[in-house]
Amino acid sequence: MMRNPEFQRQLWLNWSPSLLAWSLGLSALVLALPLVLAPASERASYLGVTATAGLWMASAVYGSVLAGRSLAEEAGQNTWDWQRLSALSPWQMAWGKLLGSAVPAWMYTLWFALAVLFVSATWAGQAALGLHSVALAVLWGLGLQAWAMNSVLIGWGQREIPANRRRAALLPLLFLFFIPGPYLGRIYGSLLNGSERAVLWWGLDIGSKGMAYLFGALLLALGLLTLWRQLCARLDVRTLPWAWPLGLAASGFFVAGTLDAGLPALWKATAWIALAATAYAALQHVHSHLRSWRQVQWSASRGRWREMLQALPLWPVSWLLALAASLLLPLQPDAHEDGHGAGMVALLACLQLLRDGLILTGFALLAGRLRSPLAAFCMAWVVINIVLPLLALGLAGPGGAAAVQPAMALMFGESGIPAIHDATAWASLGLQLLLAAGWAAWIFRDRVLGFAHENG
Amino acid sequence: MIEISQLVFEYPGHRALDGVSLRIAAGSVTALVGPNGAGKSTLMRCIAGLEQPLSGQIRVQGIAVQEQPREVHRHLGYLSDFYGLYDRLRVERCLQYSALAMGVAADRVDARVRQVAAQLGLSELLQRYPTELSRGQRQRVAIGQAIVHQPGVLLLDEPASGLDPEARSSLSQLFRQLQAQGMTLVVSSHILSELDEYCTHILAIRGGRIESHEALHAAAPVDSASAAAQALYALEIAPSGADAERRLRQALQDSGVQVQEQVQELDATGMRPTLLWLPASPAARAQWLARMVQSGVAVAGLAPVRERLQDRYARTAGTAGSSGGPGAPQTAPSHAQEQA
Repeated sequence: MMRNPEFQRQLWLNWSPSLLAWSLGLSALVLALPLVLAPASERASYLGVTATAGLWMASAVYGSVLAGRSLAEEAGQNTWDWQRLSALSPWQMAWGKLLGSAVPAWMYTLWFALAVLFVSATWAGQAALGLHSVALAVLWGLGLQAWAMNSVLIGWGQREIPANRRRAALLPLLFLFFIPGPYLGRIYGSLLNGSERAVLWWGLDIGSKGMAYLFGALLLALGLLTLWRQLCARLDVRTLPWAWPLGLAASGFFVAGTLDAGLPALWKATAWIALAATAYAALQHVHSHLRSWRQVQWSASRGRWREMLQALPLWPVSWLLALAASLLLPLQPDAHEDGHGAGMVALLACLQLLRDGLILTGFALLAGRLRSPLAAFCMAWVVINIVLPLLALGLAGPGGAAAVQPAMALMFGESGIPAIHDATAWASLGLQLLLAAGWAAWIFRDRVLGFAHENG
Repeated sequence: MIEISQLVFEYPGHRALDGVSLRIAAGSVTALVGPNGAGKSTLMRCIAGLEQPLSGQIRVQGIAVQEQPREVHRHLGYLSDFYGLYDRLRVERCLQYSALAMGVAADRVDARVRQVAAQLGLSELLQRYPTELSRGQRQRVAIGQAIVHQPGVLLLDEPASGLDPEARSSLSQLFRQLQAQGMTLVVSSHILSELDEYCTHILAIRGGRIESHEALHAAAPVDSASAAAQALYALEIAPSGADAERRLRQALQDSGVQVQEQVQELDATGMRPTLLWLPASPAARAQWLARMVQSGVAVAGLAPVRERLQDRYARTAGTAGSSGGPGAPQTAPSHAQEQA
């Protein structure tokens, strides 16, 4: 690791012998509070809680703030160009920053971890409990630090400096602490009460602790993968679009495992995660669609297929993954009774998202001619997905609205919306898709092929 | 050394580089000139791999920038217009990090840092923080970071901006040293008189297109009518009576040479030489000189002159303007003079 110049720089910035003394002194001060303030009979328990809280605060919260700050500082000091000009690979950059930037937090983590191990081994008599607590804090801390860096990079966008960078560093903490409540509940329940309920993942009883480790490992793995991919983008290193679908597929695999419903659950989870990711990728990168498609066309016209794939926007990639998962869903021999219906809904949702993706691409290709392609798309989306169905509802009743919005009609078919015939759904969505594709192709011909013709 | 073909780069709604193709020779020092917004910085950032062009190709020392940007950085240094320094690292650490990050072997880093510090006059400042340095000193630290890995190509975007005359002078000396070491430099600046001191080539860019790219020492310009190469010479006249100026004017008219100044500004008093575009061929020039002497012009001396960069830029921009091509405004010469 010392061969990693970025890690070396982070150590120069963040490590000093005085840190050792300061962190030890402050940690001891915090740990002394329960010993002084708590009743004698409760001291061990209070000390254990304080040490555990300090452990997580140091590794997850303080570590994430420092990790996020390491990138935000580059922007603040205008030194990012030096990083981009270096010969370091995105992996070296990712590891160097991740491990080096949070050194002060790891020092505090070390002291609180020692306290946790001491309390669990001497007073609680459960050394294993302390070890698990420390291992999970390290695993989750690293994962959250990776996501804190990701949130700064995502907030960075196309600008030279990230917007609201401090807030961005805290976003993943809030997200990850509040959203997966059930998982965290299981972790604490398992650690504090020692209960070992059956927790199945792909049919295996991995226990609460196993789930906590698994989720932490996924968090870290996806965080690193995302960090690497984001740094590739920020360092202008072109890559084939494999990391994005791999991360989505891994998420689908993890979620499907917790549902414990076999392969159909895998395809279903993957399809819906990929669909959500498609919408995110299309909207997040709307400003770069024109450039990306022009690069795709330029590379394709010269037979540079690798470069073409490298330039491809991400939303079609995740859309293809969603489509593949949707097509596999009804093909499973052990699919549930509603397997066909679920597959149909997922497939229609895919097509509807393709329609919206094409419309968004059309507006994005008009960048420079429209003041805000994103705002124009949002207006068009509201008209197509809300206003037109409402008009159809007024003119032709619920059946008319369902015909205009067949995917939604199928999705909420049990919520009072009249059932729609399969043929009507396909015909309606096919027509909409045709119109959207035609419009996008027309814009593409003007803005992308026209550009190529001018520069031929 | 640097090869660019059909480079197109666009910011949203604005084409910054429009089909740029050029080749910069190894060991040259190229002045990249042009008005604000011409595309100078964008071109440099594309060469450095900091911006991805829409189309076209760039090669630095034979390596494709878009395909292997990190590899190219081992052979290239770049000082941007708005560079920053690691304010929480001492100067020595800044240089060490740059060397390590650019692939200098760990056992050579300290020696290389000492060399660069000595070359840039930073030896006394190595233990200081960048926040404690003057602008000129910070500039030298930034240049040190850009050259510590001994790149073959160095790109400098407005390196003299904001520096005092002394710092500018030492910067010029440094660039001459780097060129002598075999480094290829591309320097963008509005201060043409300073570029004049060390540049071997001028690359004029306007509206995202290359306006001209030529050697400063070469026998330019090429007369479009005769297609004969010419070079700039200073003609010195000895004072020889009241009608000396008339004789000189008549002789020049008869010989058909191009005068650098306006004809009305000819000086036959011997106070200052007259700049003339003469045939580059020695034989043709000797013939011309003989005719001048026969015409009664008291020729005291004839010496080759290197055309000033600002004159070259003004002349090039003026030619482009008079050609009526797109993106070639008529005001270019006066603009260049203002910049100079």
